[in-house]
Amino acid sequence: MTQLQDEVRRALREIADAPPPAGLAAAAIARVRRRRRRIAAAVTGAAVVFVSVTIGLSTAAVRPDPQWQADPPISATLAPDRWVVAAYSGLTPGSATKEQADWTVARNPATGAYRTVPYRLVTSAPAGDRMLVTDRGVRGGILDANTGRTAWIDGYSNDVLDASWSPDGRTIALTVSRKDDGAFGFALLDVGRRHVGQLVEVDTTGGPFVWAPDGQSLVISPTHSSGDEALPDVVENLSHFDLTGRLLRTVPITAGAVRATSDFSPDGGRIAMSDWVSQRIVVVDARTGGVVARPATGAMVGWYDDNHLVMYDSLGTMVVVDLAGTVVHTYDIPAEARNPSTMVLVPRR
Amino acid sequence: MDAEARRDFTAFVEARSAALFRTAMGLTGHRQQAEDLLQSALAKAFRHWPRVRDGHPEAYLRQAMYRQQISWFRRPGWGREIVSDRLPEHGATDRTAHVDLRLGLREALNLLPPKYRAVLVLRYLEDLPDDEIAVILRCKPVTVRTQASRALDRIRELCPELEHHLIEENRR
Repeated sequence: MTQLQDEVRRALREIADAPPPAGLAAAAIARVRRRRRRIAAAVTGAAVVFVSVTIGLSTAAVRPDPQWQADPPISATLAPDRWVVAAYSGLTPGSATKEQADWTVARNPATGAYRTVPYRLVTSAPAGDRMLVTDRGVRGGILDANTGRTAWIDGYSNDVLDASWSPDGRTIALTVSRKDDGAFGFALLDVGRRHVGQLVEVDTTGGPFVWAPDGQSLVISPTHSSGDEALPDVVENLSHFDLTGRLLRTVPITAGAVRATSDFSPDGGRIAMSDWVSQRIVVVDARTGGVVARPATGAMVGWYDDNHLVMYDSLGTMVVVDLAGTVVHTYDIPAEARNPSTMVLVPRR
Repeated sequence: MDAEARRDFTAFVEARSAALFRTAMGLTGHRQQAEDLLQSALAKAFRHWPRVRDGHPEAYLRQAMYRQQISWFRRPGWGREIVSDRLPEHGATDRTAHVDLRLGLREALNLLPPKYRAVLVLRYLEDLPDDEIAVILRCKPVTVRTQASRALDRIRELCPELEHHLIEENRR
């Protein structure tokens, strides 16, 4: 190493020694959303266009999952009185590396024992007996929680962004963003027939598509850029679509985005969501959009009953709160479940 | 993009933003340009996040930044104006010779073509071997060595006080 090289090294280190700006991730996400909207506007002349979708489930192979029997059960203390934790998965900090594989802890409904499977949980059937899982986005399959078998889906691709299991357990709505042409919409997966329908392209962006509690329509929270890259996108409303992609109605819900059917209260009358700016949970009237309550700061898990929520508080503790924000129950959960990417609660049988 | 991917992506960026921004600063030498370069690479990564996260996301981002920086250099208009949030300091009279040297060296680095600068950053900031640099810059290792040598020669030309300083150092 020459002295000149030493001087260059020192100079570069001095130049590079600068703290990063805040909000880098939010700004990058906002850029992508703006680009996706531009693509959608260029491609879709009509409001809804039917095109073929590349994902399919025609010849799914069924095989036993060896991991199912291999791992010891975790603590069974997760179960609250009326709800049971069907599954949770971990992805957050440090997971975005090749070394740390996806994992999902799933409950066998027959025995109540928990097992770890090396896949990422996408969504669960309402009863918690079947789960859509993905193996690093490369393949997707349906895990039977009773048998531990996974039926892999031929042609599953990372065009699938998210999924929502219908209340009757028969259909999965897949939110799809096709990378080839930027087409955005949903496709319906018939679980029984193992068949994926055509992509129903919808002239909106945001997401994901989520089953409404009536099981007859899908809802989505369209978004647009806030104009400030450091801030999250703005939620425009809550849009209801029928299963052909026809817009049925919009509700002025702008505090946050609906991300799962479990955001709806058991009676379907209210929706709980996280306010994107304040990170506070906001409860709104599902019909009018009017704000009913702002119980607490934290992350939503689901409704305990029509007057209580299950949520993570700011310390990562899973609690039950009433709509005034009073904690009425605290769960004893393993450390690994304190900050999951997905937590699924199902009614105890 | 689904909430899970957004959370995962955000967590990754928060964990690695300091290191990534360091690379961007090394490549551009200017905070605004570094932020723009890094955000552009992050947006590209987020568009393909399900695939990127299963590979080596940090390596992907570094490669994207290096290639983007060289690509931007080819755009019309690049380099016609260098924005700065500091006033030029050449007229100052109370600087020490050492500060003179450091400023001169920084200015020389700023005047290098991006590909030369990228080679120096990869070699002396990232400490990568020439074989890996060649993969990132899509060239042969011998080209890396040639460009590094030319970049150092160019710095000598642009920063003559550095040469004097080194000669003085050797005499001591």
